[in-house]
Amino acid sequence: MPSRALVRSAPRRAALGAAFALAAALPLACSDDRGAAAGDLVWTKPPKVYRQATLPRDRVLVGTIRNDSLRPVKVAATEVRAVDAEGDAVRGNATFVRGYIHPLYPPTRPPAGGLPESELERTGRQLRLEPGKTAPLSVAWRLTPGREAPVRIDYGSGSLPIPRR
Amino acid sequence: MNPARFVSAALAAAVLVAAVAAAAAYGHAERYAFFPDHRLGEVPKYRTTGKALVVCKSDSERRIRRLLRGAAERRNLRLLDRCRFRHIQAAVNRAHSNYRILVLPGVYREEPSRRVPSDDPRCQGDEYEAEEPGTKTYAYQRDCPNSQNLIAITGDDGDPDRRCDDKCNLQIEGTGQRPRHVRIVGAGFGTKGGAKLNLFRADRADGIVLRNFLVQYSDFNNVYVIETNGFRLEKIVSRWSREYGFLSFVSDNGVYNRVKAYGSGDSGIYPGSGPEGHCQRYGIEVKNSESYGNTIGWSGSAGNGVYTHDSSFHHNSAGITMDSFSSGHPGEPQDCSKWERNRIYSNNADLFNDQRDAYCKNTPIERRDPRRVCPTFQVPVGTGILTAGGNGNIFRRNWIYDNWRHGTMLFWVPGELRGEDPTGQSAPARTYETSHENKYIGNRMGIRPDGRRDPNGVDFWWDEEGRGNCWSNNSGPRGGAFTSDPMTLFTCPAGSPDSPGNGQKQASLFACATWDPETNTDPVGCDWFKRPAEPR
Repeated sequence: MPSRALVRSAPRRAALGAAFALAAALPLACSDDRGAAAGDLVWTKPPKVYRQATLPRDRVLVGTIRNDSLRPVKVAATEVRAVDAEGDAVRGNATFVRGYIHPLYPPTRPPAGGLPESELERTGRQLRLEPGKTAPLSVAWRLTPGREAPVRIDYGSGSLPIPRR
Repeated sequence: MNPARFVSAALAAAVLVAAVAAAAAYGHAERYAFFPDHRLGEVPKYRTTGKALVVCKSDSERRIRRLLRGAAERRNLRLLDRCRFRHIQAAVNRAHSNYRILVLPGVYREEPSRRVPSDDPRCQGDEYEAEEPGTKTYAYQRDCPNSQNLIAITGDDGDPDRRCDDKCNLQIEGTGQRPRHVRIVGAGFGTKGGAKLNLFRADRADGIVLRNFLVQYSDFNNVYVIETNGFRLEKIVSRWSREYGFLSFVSDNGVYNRVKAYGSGDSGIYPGSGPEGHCQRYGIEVKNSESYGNTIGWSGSAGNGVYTHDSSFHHNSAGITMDSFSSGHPGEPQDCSKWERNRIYSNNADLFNDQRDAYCKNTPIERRDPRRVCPTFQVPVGTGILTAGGNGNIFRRNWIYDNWRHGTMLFWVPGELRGEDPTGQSAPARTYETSHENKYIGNRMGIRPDGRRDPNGVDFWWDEEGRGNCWSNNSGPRGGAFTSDPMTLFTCPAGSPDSPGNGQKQASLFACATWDPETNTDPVGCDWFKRPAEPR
């Protein structure tokens, strides 16, 4: 293996800020999932929940789901919501891709008849999951002061638990 | 494969299950396009002699006498006597290969083209419908050139070789002393009467030269070059396009020289699906150019093989982006572009604030003021150079300053996200195909050319994924240190060891993909759209 030299940048305030931001982004939750999933989807392992320093009220959950049923499951990302113990949805958004991605069609210029299924699935807006298969799921939500944190991810036909800290 | 990478690979592979090959197109629906054989073409030279057709307007003489002086005035007045066309498209229709079209000072609205309906009844039927819904074949552009385009140059006679047969090596140039003396004006955006997707379309128009005019108000691209082997865009001002100023796609042997672009909803300059030189050659050169006031100054999905130098990208929301996350772009993953001696600064345009969001969302496209940019693409506001999945790029001796988020930003994009390329011109998608062997060398960070300190938020941001990425001889103010995240970077030539990256950093990107200018202008969990405070 070739030797690898390192170059260290200056510990200026910006860099320290960045380092702080990184530290703040460490997982807030990675414990075992002790809640139960209801429905066809399950976590393959406990998801992680992150927080960025620049968005202290926001949380991003990152996990992988598996279809444990014997039938295909189809879910739209807009149906996926973080909900609190009362069952009320918390403001947020979800996607079925693990990465940053660009839509094929500009948002204000969809094709006649709407986006094709393939594009909805490629861009993580829709999921079609065959039995036994897995897919990534990322859900972000914003906490409201004085309100309890969400406890599960609701996807319409079922829900997934959010691990506690 | 190390365990971390194995887990990540397994997760990303799951994406593949859900992903289906998407339509082959770029930002808007386009037919499948194929790279020309670069060995059969060359960058055309600007010519001052040769057969010429002259275009003018009824007030050209008055403009010549008012705007021009000396030899330029005399030359234009002489040309006026030879004027036989009132519209540029009419001259294109009459021209043969190697002709020059001289356009005298005036405003060219190309009314006959505007009157052609966007769904031209002369071009209905299977032969005009391309592979994906809504896309049109080359025959459509050839037979109904002004359905989508204000001025179209289609050079292939329709034989199977996709090469130019007639109207090759055309040169269309304004004869004024400045680009603004000859203005080509589109009708506007959306379904507005006479609006066209493209104001200039050079389609299989090998050897095309466009020079010395100003172009504005396209619904998509002000200047569009596709499947063209040899092009020169020179001394052109593009402004206020709904999406792109200059866009070349699946073309080769090209030059953008002394072009200026501003007011584009997506990018001012876009050499996407660039030449597949794979670091052996640069097939498109961008030089002496300036792009500002756009959502992005320069961008390129599969922006391969482009050498950009001695240009400036400033006061955009993001200065430069290149990526490997867009489907339908031949030449993925992005690789092998080079950036030298550019100035990339002050890319903090606040185009995603609540006020602009509301205007863009609530104003029908046809009624928008085209001078107010409505972003059509999401970017991390305050970023100088964003590489979202790319390999073998070189960033050398650039001045990068006053970008309030990051001077440069490099992260990985799982190959599965771009889908398969139905044209077969991309590498098979692999999860960890990016981002590798990018080199940042000798850049001046957080300092202006006059020596004044003007910091970026963080000079170099990296998600820590990829092998062979390296940073050497970069410097901050007064030749001192730069800032980075991570704080420790790897020097050239060996660069970084292979790594799946930092999961925390990567997680911060996911939510940004859910941006939508109509339904989700500020995605929860994403901080890209709030302009950072100016760093001190």
